[in-house]
Amino acid sequence: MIRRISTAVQTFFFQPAVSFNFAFLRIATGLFILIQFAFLYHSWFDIYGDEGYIEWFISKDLFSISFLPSVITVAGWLSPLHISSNQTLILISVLYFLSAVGMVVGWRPRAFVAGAFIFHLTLCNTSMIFGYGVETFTHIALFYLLFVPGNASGKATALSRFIWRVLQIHLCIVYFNSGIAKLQGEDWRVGEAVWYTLGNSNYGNFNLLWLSKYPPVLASANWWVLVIETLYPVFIWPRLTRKFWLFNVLVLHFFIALFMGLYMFGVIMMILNIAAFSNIYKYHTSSQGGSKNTASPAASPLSTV
Amino acid sequence: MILHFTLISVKAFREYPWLNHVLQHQKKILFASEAYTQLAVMQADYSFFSPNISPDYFVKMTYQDSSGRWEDASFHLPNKEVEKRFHSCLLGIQQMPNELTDIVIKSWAARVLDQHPDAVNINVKVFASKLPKMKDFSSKGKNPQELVANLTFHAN
Repeated sequence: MIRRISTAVQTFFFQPAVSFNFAFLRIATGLFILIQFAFLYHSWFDIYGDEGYIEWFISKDLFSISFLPSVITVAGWLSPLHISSNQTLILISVLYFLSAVGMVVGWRPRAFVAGAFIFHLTLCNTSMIFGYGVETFTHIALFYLLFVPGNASGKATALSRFIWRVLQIHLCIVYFNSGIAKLQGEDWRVGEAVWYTLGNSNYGNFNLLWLSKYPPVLASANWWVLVIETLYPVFIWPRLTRKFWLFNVLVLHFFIALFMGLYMFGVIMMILNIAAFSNIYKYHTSSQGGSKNTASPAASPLSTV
Repeated sequence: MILHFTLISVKAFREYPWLNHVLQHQKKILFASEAYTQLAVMQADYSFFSPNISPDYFVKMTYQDSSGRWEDASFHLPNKEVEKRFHSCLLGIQQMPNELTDIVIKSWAARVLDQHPDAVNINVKVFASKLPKMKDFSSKGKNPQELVANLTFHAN
């Protein structure tokens, strides 16, 4: 019995797997960062600059973590070289941009992922108050890519499988935490939360106030969100329910992007979910006429145990 | 891996009473969790839109020119992504002590002054508004906006 459990755990965490899904994650995250650049380009100095919406001397004390790098600290290091704060920001931003390009191209992927990880952290730590969930999940993607940057045609390794499982379990913690935190709020328990969200002009992309005439619709959406998030760790694993649950989570994030205007957040969550739980490797090998028997990192966790 | 998940779980679930009680006697764990999660996975607090939905927040910035006329000085937020970030800032400052909120608002006022050097006075108002419940909205409409901050700065 103990041997069977040990073998099952060994297989679950360490059976060699290819890193195709990580290659997808790397390329998709790299493209995501480049698109984010396009969205933020015109306001870059407003968000991260010395004299932006919040000046650095305020950010430094209130919205920056002292033991982590920030553009502010780097500017301090470079000031003896007569490099201005704006020039420092440009330098770090260009390096971040180039790292994202390198991630997409795939040449020396670990080095470029490491660059993107450090520069992303540096930029975010400069003005944390302007960050939201999208920064957290971009960073999570970059963090796991540091260990397995992904190679579409590389050989299967135990590390690839292990990091994959860590990412999958991490997503389970994310959704479970998100679900039970919502359950503690009265807005969610009485079925009004989706109404408040869609009617909130800070989020609402469309005028959906007319939906107040159809409370059962919004209450159903409210409970659907709670069920999908809270039970994610239960139903995302079994092969029988995984596709259904993954589809629902992707729909949830599509709706978040569409109705709440959280486009980038919706996209990065979809990327992470596809990378973690979809079987894109299977489609990749099928389209290339490859073997489906190769150990895929996204192969059913329970079916392999 | 166990350490990784322990630290991110401590951060994620730290507000729950059972864990909060334990952590009050284990400050080092809390610090380690904070430091590690900031470095590795950022804030690791996944309680989005919870426990309740925050109200709408609006900022209205105006400046008074030398002729005494008040003009709009709202920041140009070119797209939804930038809007979300500014809104995130607005939500963030609502959770801060008033004196810190005032410092942030003063920073906005300084920026208005940069953009409008002729400004004599700069006023920043922050409003909050939360929708009533669905059935109340159908009969009464929206709730009135509540003024949560109103600061005026003199340019000199």
